[in-house]
Amino acid sequence: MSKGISDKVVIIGMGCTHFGERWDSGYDDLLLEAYTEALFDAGIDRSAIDAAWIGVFYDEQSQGKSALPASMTLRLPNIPITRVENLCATGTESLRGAAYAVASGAVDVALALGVEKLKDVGYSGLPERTYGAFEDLYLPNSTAPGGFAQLARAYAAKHGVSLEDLKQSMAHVSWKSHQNGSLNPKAHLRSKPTVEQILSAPMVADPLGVFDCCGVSDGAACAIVTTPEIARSLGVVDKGDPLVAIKSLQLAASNGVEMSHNSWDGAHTITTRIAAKRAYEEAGIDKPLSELDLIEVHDCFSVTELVLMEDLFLSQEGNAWQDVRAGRFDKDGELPCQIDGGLKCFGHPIGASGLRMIYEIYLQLLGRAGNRQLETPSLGLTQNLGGIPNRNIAAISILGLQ
Amino acid sequence: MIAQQLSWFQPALRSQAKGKRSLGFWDEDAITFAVAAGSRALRTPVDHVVFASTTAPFLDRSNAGLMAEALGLEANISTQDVSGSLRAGTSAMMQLLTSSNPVLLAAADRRTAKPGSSQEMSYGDAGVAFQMGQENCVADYLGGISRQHDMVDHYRAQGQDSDYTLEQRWFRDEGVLKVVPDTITEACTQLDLPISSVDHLITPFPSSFNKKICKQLSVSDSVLAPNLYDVVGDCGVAHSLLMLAHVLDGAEPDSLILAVGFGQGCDVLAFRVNQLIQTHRAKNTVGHSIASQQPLVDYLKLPAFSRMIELDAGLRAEADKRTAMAAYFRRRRSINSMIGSKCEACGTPHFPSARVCVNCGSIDRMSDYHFAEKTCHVKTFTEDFLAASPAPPMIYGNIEFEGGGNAFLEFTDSSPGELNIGDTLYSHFRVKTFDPLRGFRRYFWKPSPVPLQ
Repeated sequence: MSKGISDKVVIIGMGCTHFGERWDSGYDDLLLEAYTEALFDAGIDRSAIDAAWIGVFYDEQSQGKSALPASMTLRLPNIPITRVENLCATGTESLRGAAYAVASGAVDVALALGVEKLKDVGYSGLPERTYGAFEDLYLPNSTAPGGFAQLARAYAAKHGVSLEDLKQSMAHVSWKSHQNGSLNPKAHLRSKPTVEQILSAPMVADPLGVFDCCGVSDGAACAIVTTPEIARSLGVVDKGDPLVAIKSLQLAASNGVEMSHNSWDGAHTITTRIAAKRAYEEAGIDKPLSELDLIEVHDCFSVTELVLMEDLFLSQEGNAWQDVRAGRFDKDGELPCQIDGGLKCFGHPIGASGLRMIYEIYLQLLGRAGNRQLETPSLGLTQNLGGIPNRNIAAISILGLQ
Repeated sequence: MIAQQLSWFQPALRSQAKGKRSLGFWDEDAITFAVAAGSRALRTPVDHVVFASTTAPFLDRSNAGLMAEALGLEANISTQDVSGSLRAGTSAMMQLLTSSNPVLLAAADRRTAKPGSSQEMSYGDAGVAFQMGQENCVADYLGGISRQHDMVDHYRAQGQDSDYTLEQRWFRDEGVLKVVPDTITEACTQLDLPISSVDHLITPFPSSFNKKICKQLSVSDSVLAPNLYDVVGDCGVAHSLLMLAHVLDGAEPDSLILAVGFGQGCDVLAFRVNQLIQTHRAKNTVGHSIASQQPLVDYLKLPAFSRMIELDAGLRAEADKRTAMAAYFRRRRSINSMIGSKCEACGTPHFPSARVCVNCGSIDRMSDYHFAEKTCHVKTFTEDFLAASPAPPMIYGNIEFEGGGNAFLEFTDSSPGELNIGDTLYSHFRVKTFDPLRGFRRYFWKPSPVPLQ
């Protein structure tokens, strides 16, 4: 395995919009909001940016194809800019492009943007999309909750857990995230539903009820990256102050085994396990549960977060439903998960979500998370899952102080 | 139930409110009925396939050709669509029975009627299929005659989705009773079969008509085959042949059958049941199909599933479903025939067909693998209330085929709360989506708890 990019790239500035039903803002307003915050945070002149990546998923809905709309919105100085899209892992992909450019030495400073303007098209849930000319002829016209609901029954069957018990654990996942999100001024949903309210919510895709599903929001997030050496030469941190370094960026994509081969049990995500192993190795982590201080994972649906605890090797296989309910991943638990409220409270503007997760780790590592600040965290992980459990892309980032 | 729901609008419907009618699910049409019946009838290879219907989904695209592909028949056969009247099925059968080659005939109708009409209550949806040829036949064709009479008792013109129907008593007295007994008599004379020797008389009319026919022929009405009106309704082009299949399900060797088809004229076909009936009866009887019907609880599903009213399925249903025809044509063996591929290196089956093996990585070492007849099991699934469906929730999931191979597919024929992981399902050829903008409809295979046989 290559040595990877561990500690070769640091984040010197980040921005994140308020996520929500931003009726007053277009994709351009959202982008500008995140971008100006990041520039101000980094304290650099925009002329220092050498290259940019923009992550956006639904090009049909908001900003159209290519990276041009972002370049024109931000009046970038004719620098190279590339649009990336990899389903729900799009935000992390944007950072991967920028970080790899810096790590390679091709550029000094790079910009990673992610945006999604979902609320201009009027859907509850994510808008309709296509699987492609041939695939649409046979794949079910499924929805995101329907795709992820598949995990629940398979997990319950495999581990001999009753659907009622699983629903209780899933409800705890949502309850915990809403408790956390209520403290976050940038979160979309800040109410605190009770477990009873969560359990009695209307069904969306059995067994997922409304509170098992994340919201639909508009939002953008942004990161500026460079090398540790350039960061210090630019004077963006005081001498001796720590930098937030990328310890690992890993991606794993399905090759069709899940959809085509009997070996997949339907109860876990193969890609997350593979990406996690690579990421822990790249970051030099042996015992993730004890070494990590906080995590932000792809809680598009409560059952996804639950299963991911096993796929990230933070719970023994078959035990996550119990660990979750015992509070292991609560704010005061062994490893806080979704301390910012997660997708559950931020919603899921697809192109932005990966960078929004990284934004929270960044704030926490620098001690800037306000009334939800954890005690001196030094290592955090984010995970995105693009697609649905039987065909997906898992993206993992690990960030730490340097 | 229909009359009760419509009593505010048409109290007279109560007078015909007895018995049941059949209704296809939202994803069934004349082609899917024909495929379902055809797959059960087909026992040996055929070289000609005929599809008879007055409700063929396509006016210009071979419905029979699609039916043949769904049945897994190769391109080296001929196909034919017949239509134009309710006796299209019996007329086609009469012509095909003179052929010496093995042929498959399917007759199917999904009959649409205006909500609140008498026909909405009396019509039914069904498909039936026969394999005919020279070998292993359960009945011998003795001959028949066909006579035309252009009587417009009902009609459906191009562009119309329901029949315009005239007074039934006029149809009975001036049409059926003036034509049918005479044609039967003429057929019996020609074939030298005394009317008194007929064991089963198949007449696709209401019971009151049929009794009058017997009276005119001076035969006991005990000779009448069950007309099935009270259990499936009047199934159009399929009806006479459905009654014939029902008679054959229980007929004794040597019995004489006269089958009448009617629609702007009259067909009479005579059959003698032979000894093979005792060993070659249909596995899936008409009685079995009738018994496996699910009760309809909500009246509105009748006009909705028949596409006579449009329910608001929301924004998701507006998404454009234009079909990429070139992609469909290129991969149609997977879509129409559910043919996948099997890796010759490691034996792993794939659906849809793949060129690179998911198990061993071999490239282009695949052979055809037919999934349509494979039983499958539910690996995991959901009941999705968000997805746009004519019958929410849309139920879909991951399935595992016996013998290998997995797929992520939409299911059919299941109600919420019925399915469990591990359940056995069977693949049925159904409508996948309608494209109202372009009048197209896509078909594909859906796992269903209903067995194939």
